[in-house]
Amino acid sequence: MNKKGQKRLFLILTVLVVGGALISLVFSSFTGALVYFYTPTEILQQTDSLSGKKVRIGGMVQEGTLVKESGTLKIRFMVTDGEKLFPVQYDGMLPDLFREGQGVIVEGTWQPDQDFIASSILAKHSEDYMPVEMSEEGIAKAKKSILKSMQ
Amino acid sequence: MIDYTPFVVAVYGITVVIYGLLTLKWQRSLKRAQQQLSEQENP
Amino acid sequence: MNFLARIQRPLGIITLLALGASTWMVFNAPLDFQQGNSVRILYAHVPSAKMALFCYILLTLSSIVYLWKKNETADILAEAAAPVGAAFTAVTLASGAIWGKPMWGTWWAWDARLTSMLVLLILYMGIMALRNALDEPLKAARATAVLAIIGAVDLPIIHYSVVWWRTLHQPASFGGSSGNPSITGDLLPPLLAMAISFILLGGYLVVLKAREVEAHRQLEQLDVERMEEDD
Repeated sequence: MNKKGQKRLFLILTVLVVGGALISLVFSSFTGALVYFYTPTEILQQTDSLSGKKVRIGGMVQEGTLVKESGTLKIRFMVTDGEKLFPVQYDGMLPDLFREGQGVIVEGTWQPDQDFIASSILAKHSEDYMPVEMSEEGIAKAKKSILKSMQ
Repeated sequence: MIDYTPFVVAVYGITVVIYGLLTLKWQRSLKRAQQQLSEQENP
Repeated sequence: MNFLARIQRPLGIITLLALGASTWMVFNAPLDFQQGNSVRILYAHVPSAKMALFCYILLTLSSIVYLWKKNETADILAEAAAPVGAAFTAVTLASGAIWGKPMWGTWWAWDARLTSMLVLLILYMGIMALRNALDEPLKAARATAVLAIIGAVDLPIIHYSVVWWRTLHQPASFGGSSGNPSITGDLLPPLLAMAISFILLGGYLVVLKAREVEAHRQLEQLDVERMEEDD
């Protein structure tokens, strides 16, 4: 191919890639495809339509519900959005931010009426940043915004 | 908590390399263009 | 353009000093209560992201002025803003991924904030590629200006992504739901210092690139004139 033809092909490719990226972004902003996860309340309202589907569910790890099976990486805990509670099981590596009272997003196949088996867990960070030495007074405020950021 | 130093070093390394290389590249290219311009104007 | 030539060197020196001072502040900031040492990554990430958006605003405004007034300086600024913005966007994505791996547990997620930021990088690359692919300077200037203005639709999507949709990315720490900055105590000054330094850095890079673009255009102009004389 000559140089002019190459440039022309490059031009068409550029327009296609940029146009495609922009159109799919704008399109998905209107269809709600950009919503990254369901809340426990939402998922419990649509149990049948989502049955057998791969979903992401986000919430806060309810304090006092985290149980570790000793000698393994298996854990069980409850996820909450402040209204509904939701049992989750997981076996694998955890992100460093994962702990009770922290926002998490669990991913897995939705099966109604049984514990949710997560295939992966992501920790969500809140917008709060505090030096270690002032964390005592700030943690209560941070907890509130964690729950808020999951709704 | 694990030691995050490698992650921090990687980020600042990438930052310095990208911004630093761009600056050096453009400074050199500007200098060369200015040289060519002055050669062409006063041959 | 004469003005840019005069300010380039002093701006460069001030930028270097500011970057040095704020880097010192970053590495003397206290540890975060949740993330420990990795909070330092955000001091490069957040200002880069802000500058990535600022550069696109400059690109859009220059494009509008160019299409409206046919002012060549506006086109030179637009040509300079694109690679600077692309560099800031690339650093934003890279530093975000390196922070995300230990904190979130993943390098990448297709959530609204990350996806719209990736689209910004594609836009910058596309705008640069488009100008490269068109041989006629006037045609290239017009086409890139139009593409840049259309692409500006991504700016509100990036900015409001964490408000409009549930995302993995955290909400804004400034002017967010709580109204006041949620970055407290000694963690805040290094961020402000870095933000100022990055504004200076962005300004310096745009000035430098604009002068480089202008010099090359002058060279091409001389070539064209010489070819006309030869004919």
